[in-house]
Amino acid sequence: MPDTNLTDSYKVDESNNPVRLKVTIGHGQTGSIGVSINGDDVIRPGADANNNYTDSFDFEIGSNKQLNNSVLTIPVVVTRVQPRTETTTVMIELLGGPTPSNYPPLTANAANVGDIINYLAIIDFGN
Amino acid sequence: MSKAMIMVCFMLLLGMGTAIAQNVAAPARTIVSNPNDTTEWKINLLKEPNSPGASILDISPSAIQRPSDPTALTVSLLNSTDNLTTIPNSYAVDFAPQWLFWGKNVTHSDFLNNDNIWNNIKQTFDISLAMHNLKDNTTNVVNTKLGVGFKASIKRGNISKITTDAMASVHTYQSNYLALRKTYVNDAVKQAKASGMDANQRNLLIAAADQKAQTDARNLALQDSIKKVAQGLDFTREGFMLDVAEGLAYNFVSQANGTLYNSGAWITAGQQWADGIELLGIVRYLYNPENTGSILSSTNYHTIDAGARVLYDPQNNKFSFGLEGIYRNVSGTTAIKSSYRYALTADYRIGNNQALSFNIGRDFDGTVNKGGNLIAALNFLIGFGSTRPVIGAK
Repeated sequence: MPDTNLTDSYKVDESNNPVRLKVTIGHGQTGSIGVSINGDDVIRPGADANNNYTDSFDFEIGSNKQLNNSVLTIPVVVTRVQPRTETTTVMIELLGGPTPSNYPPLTANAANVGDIINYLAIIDFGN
Repeated sequence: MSKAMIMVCFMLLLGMGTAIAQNVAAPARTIVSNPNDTTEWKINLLKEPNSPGASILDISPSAIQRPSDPTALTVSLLNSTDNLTTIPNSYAVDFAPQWLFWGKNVTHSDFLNNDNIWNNIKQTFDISLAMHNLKDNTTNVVNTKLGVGFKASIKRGNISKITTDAMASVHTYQSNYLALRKTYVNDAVKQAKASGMDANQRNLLIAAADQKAQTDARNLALQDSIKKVAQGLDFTREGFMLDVAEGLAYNFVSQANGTLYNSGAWITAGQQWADGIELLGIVRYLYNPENTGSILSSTNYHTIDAGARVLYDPQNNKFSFGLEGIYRNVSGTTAIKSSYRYALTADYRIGNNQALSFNIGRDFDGTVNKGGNLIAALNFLIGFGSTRPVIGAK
């Protein structure tokens, strides 16, 4: 069963401790990842001309305090380029809050090389 | 089509492999399956398998196998039919644990990378199980040999520049595609916040906007562009390659009472150039216990093989050919002398996933798996599954 959407929350506190976001596209496939908070792009080193990131990244997206009551959206497009496997996977991880996230990997099969899979994660920050 | 139907068709296709001599060392047919694939079996684009289990049983089509990236799970049927009357008598199953169990941790850059040796070993580590049945026509006794092997690449070569350039195009198209999706999604987030929607209403609005973005005419065009470029990608590697492998085999006489048949280790190294020329070398040590093995000897004996294989297999050419030669030094027995093997292989790709293959040559003295030491075979192979046009081909 394809599992391409994640709607969840992440608990933050009132501290200034940084929150890190780690996104990984697995199974040797390639993809583009967008990161937005409250509808505005998060731009960090490694971003391309469209403020997107290729394949994987791990960076800070703000402090616990700053992120409280915000919404994080992560649209991802993955292209199957591997003839050896039709599986595509996106793993999303948040660190720096009171507890690390434990989101299940998002996964779907792409029947043919060149097929794309669209993923979307929506995560609410709150305490 | 069901797997059963595919297998029946496959067996029939095997029967099309027409041996022009009785002593046949036929190219392997490889069926590749993904554990999540519930629709059909696919032939591995007609490339020969690199199976250490088949090597230790001496049933692989080539004695010097090309280093290659493994597939999560590969099933190989080896050896031609006996005048179209029997199903193949040799089988090999290979699996790569990293791809089969931990593929989610392999990023695309991990896959492309050739510099990190530990990364190379993890991704290319291959466990192989092979079985070969051989019937003695005089006694009607069927002996079964089971082989287990392991291999990994220390160096696996680099992806070609043409593929790297094509990947850059895929990344650009993907990013442009995602940019449009992101615009729709971000607008929906802001609209929901401005109108004071609760989280559920907002998420529905975002999902609807994302769906709309995916079917936007501009994104449909980008999707076609991504598909077109991605389908032409060829991850055949170039440059220096180094494989290490080991294996051991047991012989079950009358399919019982297993005894060690042989065991050994080998190193395959080579260089592949961008114009399709590949030079490979092998050094292999095999231990053969007394009164077993391919040659019955009253003493334990050892063989050391050293050989080379040259291949010409350009990306955009239908014709490819190769020549291999190996010298086998035998010590510890008088039952067999040192000897050599050579073989010429030629392949002609007739159409999409179809090829005509021709092998001719001489095997080591005393090779009994193939009933003699003449190598001569003409085979026709058809591949199931998706076809992959070569970049730049019309």
